[in-house]
Amino acid sequence: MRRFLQTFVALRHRPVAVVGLALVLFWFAAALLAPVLAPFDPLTPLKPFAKPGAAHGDALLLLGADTVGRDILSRVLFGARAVLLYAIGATLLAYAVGVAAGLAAGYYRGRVDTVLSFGANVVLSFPVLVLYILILTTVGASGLNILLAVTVASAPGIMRVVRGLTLELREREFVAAAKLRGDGAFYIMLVEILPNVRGPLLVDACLRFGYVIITIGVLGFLGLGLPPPVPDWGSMIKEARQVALAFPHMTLAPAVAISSLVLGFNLLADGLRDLDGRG
Amino acid sequence: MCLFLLKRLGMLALTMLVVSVVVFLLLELTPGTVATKVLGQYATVEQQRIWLETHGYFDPAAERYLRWLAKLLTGDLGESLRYKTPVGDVLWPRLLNTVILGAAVLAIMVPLSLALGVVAGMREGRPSDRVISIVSVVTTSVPEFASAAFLSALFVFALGWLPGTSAMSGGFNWRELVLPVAVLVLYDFGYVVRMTRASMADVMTQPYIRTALLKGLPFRVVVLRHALRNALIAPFTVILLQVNWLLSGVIVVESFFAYKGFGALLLEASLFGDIFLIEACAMVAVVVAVGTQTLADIAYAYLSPRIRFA
Amino acid sequence: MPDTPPLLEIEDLCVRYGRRGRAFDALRAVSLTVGAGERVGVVGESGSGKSTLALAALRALGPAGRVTGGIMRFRGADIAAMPGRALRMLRSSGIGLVQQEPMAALNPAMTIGRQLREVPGVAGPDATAADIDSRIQTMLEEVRLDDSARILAAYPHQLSGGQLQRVCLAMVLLGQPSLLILDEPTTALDTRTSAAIIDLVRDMADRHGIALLLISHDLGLIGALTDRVLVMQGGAVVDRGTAVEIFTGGNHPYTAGLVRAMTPAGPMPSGDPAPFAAREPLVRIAGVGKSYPLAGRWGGVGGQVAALRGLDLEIVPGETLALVGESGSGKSTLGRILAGLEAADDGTVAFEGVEIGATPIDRRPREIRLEIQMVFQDPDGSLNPSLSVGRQLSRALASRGGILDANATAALLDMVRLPAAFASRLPRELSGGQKQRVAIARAFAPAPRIVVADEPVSALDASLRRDVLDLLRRLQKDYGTALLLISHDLTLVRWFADRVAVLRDGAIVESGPVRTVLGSPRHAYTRALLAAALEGGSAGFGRSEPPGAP
Repeated sequence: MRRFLQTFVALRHRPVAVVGLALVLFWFAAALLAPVLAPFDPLTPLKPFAKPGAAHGDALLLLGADTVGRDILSRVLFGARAVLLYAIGATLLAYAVGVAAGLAAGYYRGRVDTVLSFGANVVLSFPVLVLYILILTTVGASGLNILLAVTVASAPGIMRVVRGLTLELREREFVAAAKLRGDGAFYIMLVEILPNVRGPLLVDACLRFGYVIITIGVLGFLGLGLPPPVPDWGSMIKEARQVALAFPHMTLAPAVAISSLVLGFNLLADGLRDLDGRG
Repeated sequence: MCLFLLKRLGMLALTMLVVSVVVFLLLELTPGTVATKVLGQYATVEQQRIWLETHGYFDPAAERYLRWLAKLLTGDLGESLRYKTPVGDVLWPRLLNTVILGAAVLAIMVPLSLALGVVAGMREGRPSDRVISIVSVVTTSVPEFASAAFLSALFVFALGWLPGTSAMSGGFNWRELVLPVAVLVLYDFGYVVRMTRASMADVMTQPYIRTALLKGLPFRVVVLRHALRNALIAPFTVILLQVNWLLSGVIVVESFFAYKGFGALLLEASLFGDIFLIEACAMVAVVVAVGTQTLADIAYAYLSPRIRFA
Repeated sequence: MPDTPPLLEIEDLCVRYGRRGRAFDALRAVSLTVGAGERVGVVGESGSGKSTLALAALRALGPAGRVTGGIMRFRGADIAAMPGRALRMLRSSGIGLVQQEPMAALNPAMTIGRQLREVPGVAGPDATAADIDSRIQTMLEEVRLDDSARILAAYPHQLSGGQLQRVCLAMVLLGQPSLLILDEPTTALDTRTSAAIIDLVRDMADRHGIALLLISHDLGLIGALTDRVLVMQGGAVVDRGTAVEIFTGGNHPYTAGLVRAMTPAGPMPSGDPAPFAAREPLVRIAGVGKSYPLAGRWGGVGGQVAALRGLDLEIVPGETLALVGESGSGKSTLGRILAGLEAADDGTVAFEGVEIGATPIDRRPREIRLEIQMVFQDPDGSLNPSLSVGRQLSRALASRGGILDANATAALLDMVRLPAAFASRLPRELSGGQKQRVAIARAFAPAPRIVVADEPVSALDASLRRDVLDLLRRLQKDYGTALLLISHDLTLVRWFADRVAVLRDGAIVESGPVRTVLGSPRHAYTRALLAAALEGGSAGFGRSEPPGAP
C-alpha cells in the first residue's frame, strides 16, 4: 500500500501526469458529492429547451436544460456517479478474471494455455462493439448485464497482457530458486510473479478505465446502456441528437465531461508508464 | 513457410467455427424468442409451435447448428424480418457504403499517422515530439460520439459549412462524407501515431543505427535506409488491425450521422430483433476481423527478419 | 617525432547525461592524447565513463548526452565545431569505432554485403561496383573470414559472434581510419574467439600503422595490446602511465586495487583429491544425453542439436568440481539437469542413490529438492525485484521448517558479510556484488548437500570477483557442501577447484585433479583452451604474472 502511494507521489515531477490526476480526482469528487453539488434533481423536468444561464426560481440552470427540461449540470454530475460506479465495478471484475487466467496460462503453459488462449482469441475475434451488441440484445440491457458484457469483452485483453508478462517472468532465476526451495505453483504465481506485474498492470488499468468509460458512454449513445431515466452521458447525447443542431449545449456538456475524464486517465497512464520504465 | 501458413489458416478456420457456434447459441438457441420475433407478438402458441416445427426448431441443437452452418456457407442468409427481403439484398449494398467510408478513413489516416509518428520518433524528447504526443493523447480521449457532437456544433451549427446528416438522399455527395471521416480519423490516428513513434524511437536508439551514423552516412540516409525499414514493421501490422477497430467505430459514426452503412444496419437490426440479419452481420464482421488479424500475423512474420530467416 | 599535431587530443572534457534534476556527469575533466601509431588503453569498470569518451569524440552521444566543457581535436581541428561534411569524413576515414556487441551493431534486416558496400569512400570517388567489391573481398580476407560469398549474402543473425566482430572490424577498416577505437571488443565473445580477435587486431594495427585506443575493464587485455594506459573511475582519470608502470601498482590506490584483484591471494589449494577419493559419491551421472529442437524457418521445428552426449561424472561430498568449457559446450545444461530445471533425455542421474535425472523439479520429493541448490550467473535475475531481501532469505530459511525470525535472517546476512539492515531493502537498492552475496546466502540457507554455481562471478566487475569467490569457498567449507562450479574461466578454476572436467560439444574430453589437468593437459582441446586463456589476457581473472614482466 505504501509503495502504491509512493508511485503516485513520484508523479509530481511530470506536469502532464499531474493534470491527468487532477482531472480524475475532480470527477471522482464530483461523483461523490453529486447530491450536495447538484443544484436540482436530475430527474425532474423543469424548463424544456432552456438555454444555459436561464433562471428557474432562485437558481440558475447553468448549463441549460434538456429536451424534457431536466437540468443538464445536475445530470452531468449524477452521470459521473453512474459511469464511475459501473466502470470501476466492471474493470475490477474483468481484472479478477483476466489476471487469474493470464497467470495460469503463462505459468502452466501447455494445454491450459492452449485452451485459455484460444478462448481469448475467439472473444477477441469479434469487433468490440459487435460483441456488445450481440450480448446485450440477447440478454437485454441492464446494469448487471453491462457489467457482465464489459467483463467478457475486457478480460481476454487483460489475460493476454498478464500471460505475456508471466511467460517472461517464469524464466527468471528467482522463480527457479523458488522451485528449488519446494514452493508450489500457487505460491509462485501469487507471491513471486504477481507483484512483478504490478507496474505494467497499473498502466494498463488506467488505460482500460478510460476505455471502459468510453464503452459505457457509447452503449448509452446507441441505446443499449443503462435503462432510463438514469442519467448517463451517452444517452444524454443520444436524446439530444435530433435537436443538437439547434441546441448544441445539450450535447456539448456531456461530451466535454466524458472527454475530460478519459483524458485524465490517459494522461495518468502516460505518467505511470514513464515512471515504470525508469523504475 | 508453407507449414506456417497452413497452421495460421487452420487456426483461422477453427476460430471461425467456434465463433459461429457462439453466434448460433446466442441467437437461435431459444426457439420461443425466435418464433415471437418472426411471427410477431400476437401469434398464438399453436401458430408458433407449427411454425417452429416446420422450420425444424425442435430438432436436436447440434443438427440445427449444422444445418444453419451449411446454409450460411452456401450463401443462404435467410430473410430479413424487418425488410421482408433476402438478407443479402440489404446487407451487401450497406457493406459497400461502409467500405467506401473505411477506405476514405484509411487513405487519410495511414499517411498522416505514419508521418507524424516517424517525425515524433526521430525527434524524441524535443518540442515537436511533445506536441505530437499531447495531440495524440487528447484525440484518443474524445470518444466518437463526443467528437461528432463537437464537430457538428462547430461546422454545422456555428459555421454552416457542412451538412448535418449523411443520408446521401440526393445521391452521392462528398460533403456528407467529411464529418464521418473526420470523426473516425480523429479518434484513431492518435493510437497509430503513438505506436509508430514508440517503434521509431526504439529503433533510433539501437546500436546499428549508431553504426550507420559512425560509418559517415548522412542522417537522412540513415533514417530512410536503416531506420524506417525496421521501425515500420510494427505500425504496419497495427494498421492492418485498425480494420477490426473500424468495424466498431463505424457503428457509432453511422448512427450519429444517419449514414446508411453496415454498422447502422447491425444496430438497427439488433434493436428491432431482426435475428437473421443480426447473425449475418455478425458473421460478416467476424470474418473481416479474423481475416485481417491473420493477415497481420503473416505479414509480421514475413517482414521480421529473425522469424523469416531463422 | 615529426611536429604534427597528435591524432586525437582531448582536454578537460566534461559530458553530462539527462536533464532537469536527473542529470549526472558521465565525464569530469578528462584529458587524453593519442599520437599517430600509438597504442593507448583506457581501463575502468562499468560506469567509469570510458565508453562515453569514445562516443563523445565522434559526437555520437545520442539525444540524452551533451558536452558541457572541454575541447576535442582531431589533427588539430576542433571536433565540436566541425560542419556536417567534415564530421562525416571524420567518422568514415578519420576515427573508426568498433562497438561492444557485434550482433546489435549490425542492421538485422540487411545483408552483410549491403552494409559493407554502403561505407562511404570504400574505393575512391570514381570507383565502379567491381572496384568496391574487390576491395571488400580483400578486406574480408584480411580479417580472416573465408567463404566471403556466403558471408556477404548472409544476414547478421546467421553468423557467429566472432564472425560478426570481424565483419565490424572490416567495416571500420574499409574507410582506412588513422585511429581505431575498440570498445570492449571481446566481452561478448568466448575465450578462444577473443584470443583470435586480439591477435587479428594486433596484426592489422601493425600492418596498416593504425593507432589504437582500447577501452576495456579487462586489465589483462589492456596489457596484451597497449603501451600507455589510463585508469578511469567514476568519470575521471585517476591514474596514467606506461603499461609497466600501471601493472606494478601505478600511483593511485584504485589502480593498485585493480591489479591486486587480478591475482588471487592465499595459497593455491592443493588440488589434491585424495581426501575426497575415499568417500561414497553423492551424485552419479551416467550416460546422460539431452537434445534441443532447433528453430526452423517460419517458427517451425528444424532438426535437433545435442547439448549433451553420453556424459559420465561423479561428485563426491564436500569437494569442488569444476565444469569448464566454452559457450555451447553443455556445462550449464548439465548443472540445470542436476538441479531439476531441465530433464535429461537419456542416461541416469542418481542423487544418494535416488534416480532424478528425468524428473523435473516439480515432481521431485521436497527433501531432495532442498539438497540441491543453485547460484545463478546474473545477480539481477536471481532475486525477485518486488520482495525485500529479508523476505526472500527468510523464505529460504523456513523451507527446512525453521523459525521465521529476524535473528536467523540477520545471522545469514552476517555470514555473507552484509549488514543486518539490508533485510528491509529491495534488490534494486543493492549493487551487483551485494546481490550475488544475497543469492549465495539464499542458496546455502537450507544447508544443501550440493550447490551448483553457474558462472557465479562472470557478471560481476573484476575487482569484486575474488571476494565473492572467497565467500563461496568459505561457506562451502563451513557447511561441508559439495560445489559444482561451472565456468569458462580456467584461471578461476585453477585457484578454486579440486577436480575439473573439461566439456566440449556435450562430452567430457578430460577430467581429473586440477593440478594434473591444467598443469599437464593430455587432450589437445584442453591445451588450446589454456593457451587462449593466457594469450587473450583472460576473461577477467588475470594471469599468473603481470604483463610486461620479463
